[in-house]
Amino acid sequence: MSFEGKTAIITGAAQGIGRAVALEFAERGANLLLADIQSAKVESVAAEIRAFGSKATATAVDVTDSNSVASMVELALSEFEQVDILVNDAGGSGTEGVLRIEEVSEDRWDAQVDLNLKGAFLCCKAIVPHMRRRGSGRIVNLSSSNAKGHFGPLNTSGIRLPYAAAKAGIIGLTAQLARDLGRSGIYVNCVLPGFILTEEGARVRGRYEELQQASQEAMAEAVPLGRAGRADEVAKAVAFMASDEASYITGTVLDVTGGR
Amino acid sequence: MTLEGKAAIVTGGAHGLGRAIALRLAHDGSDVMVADLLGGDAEAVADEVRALGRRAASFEVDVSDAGAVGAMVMATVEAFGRIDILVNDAGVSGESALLGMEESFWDRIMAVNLKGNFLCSQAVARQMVAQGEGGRIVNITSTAGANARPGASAYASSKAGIIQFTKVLALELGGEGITVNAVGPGMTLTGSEVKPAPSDGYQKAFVGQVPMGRPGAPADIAAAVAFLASTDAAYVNGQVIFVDGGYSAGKLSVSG
Repeated sequence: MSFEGKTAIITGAAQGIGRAVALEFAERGANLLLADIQSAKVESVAAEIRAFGSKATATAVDVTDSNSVASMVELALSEFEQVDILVNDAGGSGTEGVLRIEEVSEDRWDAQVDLNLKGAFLCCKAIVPHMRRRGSGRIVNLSSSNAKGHFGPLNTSGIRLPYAAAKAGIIGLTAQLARDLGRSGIYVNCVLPGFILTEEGARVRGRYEELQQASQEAMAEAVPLGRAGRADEVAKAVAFMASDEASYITGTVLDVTGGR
Repeated sequence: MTLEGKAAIVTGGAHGLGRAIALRLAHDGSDVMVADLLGGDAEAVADEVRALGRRAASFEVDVSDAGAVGAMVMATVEAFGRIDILVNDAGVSGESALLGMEESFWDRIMAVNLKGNFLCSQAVARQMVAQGEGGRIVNITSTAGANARPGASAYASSKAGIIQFTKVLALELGGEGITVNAVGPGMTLTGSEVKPAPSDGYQKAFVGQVPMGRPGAPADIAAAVAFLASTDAAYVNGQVIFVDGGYSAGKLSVSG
């Protein structure tokens, strides 16, 4: 379905699934405000999209900082006057594998939960008043199969305990916010990716490629469809949930996991 | 056209949700076999599919009869040469509290809703495996499959059975490139003559529990089925999408 005339804010758009969502939405004609803490990388995604004729503005954001989030929303409204869609993709489990609870310091717990859960809350809080005034809006939150304790072999996940807890929190945030906003014309849904290999150079792909071939095959075989998913396959599910095709769907979680 | 060149079977396709799904798949480019216990009404929907510029056929089928289901699959292959999509929409509903329930009532609901889903899925999956190009199965369950209400023990059990059947088939058939998913409608007003709408009192009480504050429409359900039948859902497998205005996300405890 076309997103012609729609404006979307996508957080975490510099790489991986967020970048794929940006490209998918651009292909469907959306105007985009792309936000990421990695400002140079997100600017290059925006430039890539502008090169094929869509409107995209990039901005640096720290989703754990309410002032930074407020600036992001103000910029979107000043550029495009309205925001129809918010995709909360910013997050991550870091680059260092931490497996034991003894190694999870309180500070690192707080930082992970802030990034992966509070960030989505702050972005929703900043955009909902605008969507309420318009009587319409769509929010899509990204969870992770880690929320259900599904992890791949070592090396492909970072500090997984707070990450899993925060990504499970995203599901509760989605359900409760959907109920609270049900009568306001604002839809809130969640997409839950499984084992996804994104573009060359992305973190999970890099770690996967370092694994022995037998481990790589075991990861693929653990998926009923027998392969890793692609970022664009997650992006298409996000696009469905962000579109008017999902006309009576709110408060749901859609797993994009190949059946795992 | 996302379903250009595909061939679909929609059971229960003569009325209500099934008809809306058949027409939506045709709109997206698919040829459609409209299968229903009411063969004449199925043919009328096939005519509507043809009016959209797609090939269509109809078949009178009792989905709880293995022989009839086998014949439906053969007729579809004869008409279109292949089957890419199966939508298991055929179903019956009914209310009966346990203490007064007739055995025949239970058997009828299980035969159509659950055994019918099994027979159609098995026959079509065998054809899809023989074709060797994967496929899509979309089952129609219900919010009743995950939310209890008095009087619905037979219906809700059949629909809960469909959810678990979907998840198991997703594991078994994933390696063949066949995805199996389900759509769970909430209270949906179909305008169908063969399935009377619930009473006004029931509708009001139910909608009061729906965060979006309205009942569903057939087009809402058909859009979710079309997504799951499309390549956009290539990595979605074993899932249930509740299309229920937020009902399954939790009931409202107080109004307003």
